[in-house]
Amino acid sequence: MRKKVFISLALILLAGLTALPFQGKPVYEDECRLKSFFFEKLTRYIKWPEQSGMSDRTTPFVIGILGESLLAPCLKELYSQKTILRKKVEIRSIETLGGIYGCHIIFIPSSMEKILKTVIEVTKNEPILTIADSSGFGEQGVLINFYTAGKKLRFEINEPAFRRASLTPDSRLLEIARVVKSRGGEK
Amino acid sequence: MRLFHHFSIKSKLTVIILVVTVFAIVAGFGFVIYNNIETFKQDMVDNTVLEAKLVGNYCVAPLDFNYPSDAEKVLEKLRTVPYIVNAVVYDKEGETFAVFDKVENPDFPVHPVNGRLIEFRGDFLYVFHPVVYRGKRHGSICLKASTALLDRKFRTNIITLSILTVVLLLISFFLASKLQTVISGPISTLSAVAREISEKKDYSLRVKTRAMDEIGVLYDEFNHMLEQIQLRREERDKAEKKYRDIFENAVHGLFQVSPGGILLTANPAYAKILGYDTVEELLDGGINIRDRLYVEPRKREEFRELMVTMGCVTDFEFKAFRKDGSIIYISESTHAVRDEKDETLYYEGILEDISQKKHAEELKIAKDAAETANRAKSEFLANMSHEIRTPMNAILGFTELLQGEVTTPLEKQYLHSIASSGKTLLALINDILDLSKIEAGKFELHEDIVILRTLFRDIEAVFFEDIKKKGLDFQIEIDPSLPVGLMLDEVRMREILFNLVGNAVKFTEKGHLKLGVYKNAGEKDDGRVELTILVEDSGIGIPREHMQYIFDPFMQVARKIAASRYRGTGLGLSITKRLVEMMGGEILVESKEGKGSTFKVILKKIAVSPILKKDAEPGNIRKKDVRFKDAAILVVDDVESNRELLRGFLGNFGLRVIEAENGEQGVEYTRKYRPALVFMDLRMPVMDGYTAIRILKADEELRSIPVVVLTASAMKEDENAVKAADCDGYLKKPVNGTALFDQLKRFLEYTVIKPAPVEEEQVQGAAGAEEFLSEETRAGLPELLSILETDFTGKCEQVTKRFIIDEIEDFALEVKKLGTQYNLELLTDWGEALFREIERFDMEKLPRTLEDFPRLVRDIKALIN
Repeated sequence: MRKKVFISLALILLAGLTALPFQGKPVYEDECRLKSFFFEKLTRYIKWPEQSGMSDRTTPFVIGILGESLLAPCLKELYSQKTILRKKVEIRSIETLGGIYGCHIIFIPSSMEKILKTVIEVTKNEPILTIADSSGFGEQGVLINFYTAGKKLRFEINEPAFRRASLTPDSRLLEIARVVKSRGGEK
Repeated sequence: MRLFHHFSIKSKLTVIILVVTVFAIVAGFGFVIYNNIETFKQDMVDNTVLEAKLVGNYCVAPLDFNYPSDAEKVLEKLRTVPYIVNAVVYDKEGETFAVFDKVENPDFPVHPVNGRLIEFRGDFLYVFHPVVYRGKRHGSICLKASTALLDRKFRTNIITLSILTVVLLLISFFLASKLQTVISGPISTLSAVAREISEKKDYSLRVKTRAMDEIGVLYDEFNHMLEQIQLRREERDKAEKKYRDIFENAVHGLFQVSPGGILLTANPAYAKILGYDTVEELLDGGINIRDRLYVEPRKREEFRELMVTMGCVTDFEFKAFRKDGSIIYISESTHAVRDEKDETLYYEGILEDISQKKHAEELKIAKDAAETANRAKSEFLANMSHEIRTPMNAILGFTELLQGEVTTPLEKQYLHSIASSGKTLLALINDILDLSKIEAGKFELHEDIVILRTLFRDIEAVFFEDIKKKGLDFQIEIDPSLPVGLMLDEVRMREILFNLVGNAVKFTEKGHLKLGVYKNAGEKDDGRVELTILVEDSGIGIPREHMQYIFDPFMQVARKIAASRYRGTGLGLSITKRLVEMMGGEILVESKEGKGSTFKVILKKIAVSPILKKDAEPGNIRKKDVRFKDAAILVVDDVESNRELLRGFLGNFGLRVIEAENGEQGVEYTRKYRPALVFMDLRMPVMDGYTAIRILKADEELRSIPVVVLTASAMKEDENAVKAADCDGYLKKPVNGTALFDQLKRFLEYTVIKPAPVEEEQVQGAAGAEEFLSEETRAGLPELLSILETDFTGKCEQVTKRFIIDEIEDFALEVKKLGTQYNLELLTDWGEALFREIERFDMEKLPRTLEDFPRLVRDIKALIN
């Protein structure tokens, strides 16, 4: 009995100890939060063309979320404080296809699978970074698609799609991402 | 370092070059290596940094997105980089994010503050580099690189360098060895030459001059110096030789001896004096010569004392032992040689063998004794001479006088014998005394100007009658090239000629006689001549067996023969020879028995006199030609007979005679009678001649009266004394008429009657006589005749009968006076002849001449008609 207690305490202490180093560190256990953080991170490795107005700090960086997503609140909360590329971040809910064009990033939740193709069609030549977190979306033309490998949140990059979108991903990004290409033979 | 100094020049140079080379190489290469390493290090750093950057770059996303495995994948790429052994990626907080491990347990340095670090630690290089993307730091990366490669490179470099260095050194060594010759060669040459010179002592060697760098200058100076050395050595050698020669060849012994008496140095003379063959023999003994040298030990002490007190010894004489033990006399002069502290280093001196000198001294003493004895003998003889002659004078004189007294023919005959013997004795005594005088060296030559012609005529005159009587042909021959005036001793010459001509006359019965003088050739230009006087006859000659004896007075045999056969003392030739030899000449004789003899007298180095004596009349003035003015003559002599003789002589000259017995009387009479001339004997009682003369000469009034000293002594000393006595002349006793005449001539006034030539015959035929008679003479003849007939003839008979020399002499003089008065040579000649015979004690001719008188008168009678 005493031995158990001792072990439990030790485990707790260990846990606590292990938890200690993490003080001060950003909490990534919440997937939603993590993905949100990734948004900003990713932007740093992507080069937008001139017309996207990344150099203008007055204009906001627009993240459009198609439909409803669980990610929306995390995004909103995170980017109410944080800037992306020194721009204030505007989180929009995009209802219409037309609303896509004003966004720098479009997040396409898994629920929007049916219109994915259409969205891709719209965005494929636009400098819009499409981000999704559903399997197979990458091959369908989403530029960056999150997936989980092990305990890690990782992402796929559709490199041709990037090119079509006139967005240039940094090689560093390509290094850590799983590179996919669109099915259908498009390059 | 000191060792280095002992290296040869070659080694030194080589070492120096090598050292420099090594330094250069090492320094150069070292620098290069360092540079190399540094560069490599830098390269490594750069490369590592680059890798860090590169890898870091690729860790940006993994860090950003927190994909450690991706970071590790990136780090894996480092595997290809050989020198990267570890890599660690740190996150923002410095926590290890990803690790690349080639090696286990990396020992990484502390995470640097500023995220940058390049550090070499141990064998590794740590490079920290921040991982930054777009201004945002995501973490840092640290690469650990191994310097092993570097080390290896370094080691490779070192090895390469070492090998290269060695190779270069070898090359350098080779080059150095070759090139150093440029410097060391000449030095070695110089060194070699110098050593050779030093070993062989050959200073004639030189180094060949070369390029004019410092060594060339050294060469030149070296050569120059050698020249100087050679020169100095030559000079020194010459000087040394000079002194060595002096040392070696010195007649006296030269030596150096240690204070202890050990002989240090000696010259050959020294060895010889002491009877050793060589100097080595003397020195090798090493023995203390001093100990063995002195015959008398006390002399050694004496020497030592002198040396101690005086510091030197001069002419120290002592007896010494030679090597063989014989004894010699030595004279030594030695001095001490001291050093600057005045300590005696050694003694050096001179040794002289004075044995000879000592002997000579001893001999001299003996000689002096002998001479003293001889002189005593001579003085004895001289004195005896005087003492002998005086009684002889008396014997002869009184014999003459006696002859006048005795009447009986028998008595006359006895007296005649006495007189004859007396004369012989006198002649013998004279000869003996002369000879002993010559033998004792008492004879001294009295040179004066002599006219040989006059002398010859005189001699001829002396022997004229004999020559005429024997009917011999007499020749005088005088070499015309012979100077007229010659410096000879007239008296001795007269004696020589008298002897030789006399002999010639004596030993020649028929034929001829020649008396000649010739000048010998080869006259040197010192104003002297050599002449030969020749006396030649055609007489009986000298037997060959007698030839060797004729000049020898001591060969009794010869003397006896000579004395018996030829009459005379037999000493004549010996005296003649001595006289000739005294004159520095020689006498030679050639003779053939029965044919004749020739005597030659060769006189050398006869001085020539250019001037004739002022008062020398041609010498032909003969007694008969001179008539003295009437004067009084004072004769001072203690011996009655001497006075008598002089009285006789002077009377013949028609002079008045005053006599004094001693000096005192002499002075008195001189004062009283003021004679024209004084004859003064020297040795007299009461007052001797010297004193008397002194008194006379001291007296103002009497000083002018001439005084002639009569001396019986034939010694030159007395002659000199006489001269010193301030007299005006001297006469030797027994008085010779001619000598007396000469003295009279000097001091008395006389007139010279015209001289007749000697060759004229004494008695001439009337016819011949007539030619020479002057008118005046002729006129006086009758008167003369009457005198002769009445007076003189009778007197002559009387004188002849009585035969008293004095009377005859008076008679002769009277006849002469008469002849002079009447200027008839016939008479004067006869009177002269008679007189001469008396002088010579010629008892042979004298009677004959007297017998001639009547005939003479008859001749004169004939002249008148």
